[in-house]
Amino acid sequence: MLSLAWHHNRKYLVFSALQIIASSVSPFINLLYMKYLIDGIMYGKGFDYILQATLIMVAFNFIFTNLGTLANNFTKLNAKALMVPMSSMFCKKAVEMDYQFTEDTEVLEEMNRASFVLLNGDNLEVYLGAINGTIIAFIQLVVTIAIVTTMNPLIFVMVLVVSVVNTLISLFLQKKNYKLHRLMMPVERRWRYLIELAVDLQYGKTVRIYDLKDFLLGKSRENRKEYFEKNDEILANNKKGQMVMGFINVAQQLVILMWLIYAVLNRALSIGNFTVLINSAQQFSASFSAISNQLINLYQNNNYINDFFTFLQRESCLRHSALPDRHLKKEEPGIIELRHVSFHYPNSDQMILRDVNLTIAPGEHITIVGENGAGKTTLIKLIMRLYDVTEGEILYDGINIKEYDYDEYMDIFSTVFQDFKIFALSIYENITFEPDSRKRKQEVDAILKDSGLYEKVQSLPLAEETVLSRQFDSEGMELSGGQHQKLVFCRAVYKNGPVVILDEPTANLSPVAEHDIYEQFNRLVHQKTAIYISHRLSSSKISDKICVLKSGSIAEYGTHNELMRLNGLYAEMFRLQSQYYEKEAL
Amino acid sequence: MSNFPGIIRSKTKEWLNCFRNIGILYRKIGKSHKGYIVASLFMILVQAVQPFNSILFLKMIIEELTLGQNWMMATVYAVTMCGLELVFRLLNLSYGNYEAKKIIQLKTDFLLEIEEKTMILPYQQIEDPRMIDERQKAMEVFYPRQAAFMDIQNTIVCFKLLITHILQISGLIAIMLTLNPLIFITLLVICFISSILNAIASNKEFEVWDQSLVKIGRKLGYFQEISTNFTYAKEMRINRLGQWIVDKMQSITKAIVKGINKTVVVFTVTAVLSSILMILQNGGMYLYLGWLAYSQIITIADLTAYISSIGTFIAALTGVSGCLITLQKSGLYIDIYLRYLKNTDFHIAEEESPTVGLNGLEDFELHLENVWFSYPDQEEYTLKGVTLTISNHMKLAIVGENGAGKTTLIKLLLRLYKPTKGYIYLNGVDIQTINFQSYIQHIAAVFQDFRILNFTADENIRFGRQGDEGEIEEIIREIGLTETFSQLPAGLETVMGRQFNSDGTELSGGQQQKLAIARALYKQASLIVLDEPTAMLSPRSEYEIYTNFYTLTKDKTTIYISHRMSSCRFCDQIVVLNSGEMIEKGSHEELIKAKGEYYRLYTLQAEFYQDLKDTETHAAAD
Repeated sequence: MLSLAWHHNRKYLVFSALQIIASSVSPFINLLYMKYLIDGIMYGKGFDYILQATLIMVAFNFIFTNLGTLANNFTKLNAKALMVPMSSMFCKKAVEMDYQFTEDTEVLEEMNRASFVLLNGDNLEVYLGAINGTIIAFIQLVVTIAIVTTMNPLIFVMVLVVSVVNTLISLFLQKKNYKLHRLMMPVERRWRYLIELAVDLQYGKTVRIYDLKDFLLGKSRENRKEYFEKNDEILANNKKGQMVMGFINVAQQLVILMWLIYAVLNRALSIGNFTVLINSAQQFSASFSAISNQLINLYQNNNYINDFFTFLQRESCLRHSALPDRHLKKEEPGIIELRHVSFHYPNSDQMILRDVNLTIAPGEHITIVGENGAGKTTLIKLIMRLYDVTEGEILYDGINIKEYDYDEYMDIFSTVFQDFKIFALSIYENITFEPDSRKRKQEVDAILKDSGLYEKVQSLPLAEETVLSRQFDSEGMELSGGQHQKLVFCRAVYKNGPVVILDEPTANLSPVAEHDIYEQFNRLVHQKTAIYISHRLSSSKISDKICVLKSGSIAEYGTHNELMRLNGLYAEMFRLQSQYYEKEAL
Repeated sequence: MSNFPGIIRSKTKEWLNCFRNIGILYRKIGKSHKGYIVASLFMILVQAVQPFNSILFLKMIIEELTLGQNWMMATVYAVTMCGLELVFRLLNLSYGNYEAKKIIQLKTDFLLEIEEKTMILPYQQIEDPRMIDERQKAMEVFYPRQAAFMDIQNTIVCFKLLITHILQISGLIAIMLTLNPLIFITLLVICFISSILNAIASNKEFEVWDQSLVKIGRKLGYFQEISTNFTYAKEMRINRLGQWIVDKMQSITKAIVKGINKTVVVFTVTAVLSSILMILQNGGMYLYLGWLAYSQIITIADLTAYISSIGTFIAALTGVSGCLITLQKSGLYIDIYLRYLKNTDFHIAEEESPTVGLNGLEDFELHLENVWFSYPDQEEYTLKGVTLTISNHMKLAIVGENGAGKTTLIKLLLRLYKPTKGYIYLNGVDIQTINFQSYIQHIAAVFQDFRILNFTADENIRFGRQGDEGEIEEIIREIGLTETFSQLPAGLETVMGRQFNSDGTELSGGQQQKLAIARALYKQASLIVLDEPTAMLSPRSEYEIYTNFYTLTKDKTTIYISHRMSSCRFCDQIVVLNSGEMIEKGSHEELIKAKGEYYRLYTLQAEFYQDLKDTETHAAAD
């Protein structure tokens, strides 16, 4: 953790050090001053002595208090600033980790715990503050013990014993509570989801049309009940522990007090020293509570910091199989070969694909069809290396795709998925993912013109700088579904990868728009390899080959005419769909 | 500084408003948790008194040690002091535990209340970005995501602390009045000035953390969301957005952080000024007290007591100023929360107004009379003068370009929006006068952006409603999902989604669409609305659905929006919308004959299939 701070924000460490020094010393200034003041008066040392002592005290306070304020504020600022590099490291890892983990509950839990310190604003700050706080309290304890020891070693022993006992109780408590807290996190995560269901716009229609109010409230209450049960246990544990510690501390105070009274009356302990020792005992108590409380924050968050680092260090199988010297040419498509490919998802035994053999020549346009759940999307995911095959191999340009650099391999694909996403960024950035809109403006304008979006974009006050969401920008805009689809097309065109993948690209488009898009298709896939998944067999018109998947295997493969002559699955599908468009009807 | 009286006036108004809101909040809490309020009052007293325990008893002990020399009395004092200290601690612990539980309960109750009220709100309201913003801020009070200091816990604790400190200050003033009044007044004045400086510093500090960092927080939160939400996973990887996110986050925060640095310097300097004043004052006080003790005007015991009192006084004063700042800020959010409650209450009143129940509906006839509609912040009309009758058991198809107004029309029928002009009647009754719940009971809809929720498949269909097993199985069979679910070990009890359960399942797009249709069918409504119901289905599934649908929806009124002209073939009536106007209406045959817009759209689509068939015949001829 500290090495992270060292790398990203040295100022934090500097100011922390200052903070620690200032805060450790501060309480003792007045403490010691009292002794000199009181003894000075009791032993008639003259007013000059008192004046001198006071001036020294003021000077010290001046330096250390102000140092403290300065250090506190800048430490806080820099602590908060640390959140940015940590957040970005987290996000980068989340994006680059193997795709299969995005569906793996265990990894999602780990990711959730890792993000605990980043979400909820203050957690990181509290954690860092706890580290500093613990160091400060510890130094204070040591100084207190030193002061006490020079005056009376016996008290030192007692104080030490009490400290150790209290520390053990505290740590034991925290360990117990951490386990519970970890169990609570998934409950909390689900609570967030339930709240979202109830209030978020995207569920609004479903909630109202199906009258889900009582159902969701019921689920929420169930969730909270579970949460309360665990939380009550944590609170009860804390209470028990703290009561025991409270008893011990007060008992210690009493014993010290009694001893001091005895010492003053019989052992000629000065009143000045008496006050110092009393205050030291109280300071000790205070420092100790501080350590206790900080330990709670420290322990809890430390585990999440651990989760954070564990998550960051999670191995990526997909990225580590690359060999050097494997380069992809991006100007022209290469040949894609699937050899005896079988696949099942990591956490299931069900084979989704069985012994698939397929060759897609460079520049070929192929449509993949089949029933829902036959494995079409899975096949695409394998070709794109979102997953690695379970058996068999996939080759691109004769080389196993595992050997290519992962990111470079991703670069060859231009895609339009069914569940595409529009980001809360400007139109320009949604297409290019580049913040500076002057860089490729001409290129983007040309692409927008081709897609038919140019006029619409220009009609907006901010043109392509318009942000496509109202989340952060009240001047943001939401385009219609069809316009979004065209935008995603532009994104694919801009990326210009030699292999184009289109998954149900016209599902939501009107006949006219569909017609337009097919025009765009031709421009997009000209001289590139194209793989379509579509239920609208009209796309067969623009394909060279059709591949029919059934229960994870290739059942039929050929041109439209060949398959119609075969009179098998494809022919049936085609007839089913085209029957509504019989010539007779016209 | 030029408008100083103005500033004071507005600040005072803010604080008065803030305290009024806190009062309302406590009254709300008091309604269901009287015991908590009583306990709080008691604990405020306990905590106010606690510091005086050691101040007074130590003084007495030291007096005994320096003057009386009676060890027994000293011991009695020591034991009493420690005994009371123990009592105070135990009370604080118990209460702390009790309060922690209570506050979580309160937060849950209030949050559920917001949830409930939001769910009843008309859809039109929840789409309003201002409403969304208000709701998010209102929820920060009970479920802080961005601004932890808005948490109601802070507000409650601060408020009690405020009262505690004020009580302590009163007690301490009583003690210190025994000193020279001049000195005492000097003390007060300097403390006051120092407090103001402190307050200004705190205020600035708060603004920095609140405004700038909360803004950053929201953006960072968005990036975290898209990085971790599995629905973005493909896009993020395909477009190599890993490094891009890092760069984005850094560029967004860099500019803001620079500005913050300057402000931090400003309020640090202010705070330093304030503490210099206090240090000098302290020095002066100690000197004065030292002189008093030196001149034997006061005893050593008194000296220690005065010094402790001053320390506690300053701490209490700082506490007061800190609390006031926090309360002022959180007061703003509480304001928004109370306002949000009021806004939603208004709508509930509307619902309670004269209603017409519609039990046992036999006929279901909708009539739109010259309906015009524009979205709330748009000038253009999305629907222009639509007049249409949807008679009982009719199968209606609505076609048209993207953006022609099809989905909008549906939303009006579903009462998600109100027509801007014109009326919609159900069996002759204006639907706006009907109780929403009883109206919507009779309608089921599947939108393009339907949602399968993260519950079991059964729950996604029935949502916990009682029904007989056979019914669901029948619907599952008709929709073509029997095989899918028989392959899952838990069948219909399988959780839909793997976010929270490792044994959950993510259905394919088409399977999800079928499930959504099953949901609509189960509802047994008189009107079923389907917006692109087969967009993600294979030709065979689509065919099955259409065939079964026809039987399933025989005795229901059905409205389809579809770009697949094929679905229009078996509809009684087709309506064509163009830029919000209804330009054609009739059966498939009629519209084909009319050779208008419908004919154009139909042939566009048919072309593809025709072309393919032609190539077939040509190939066959070869």
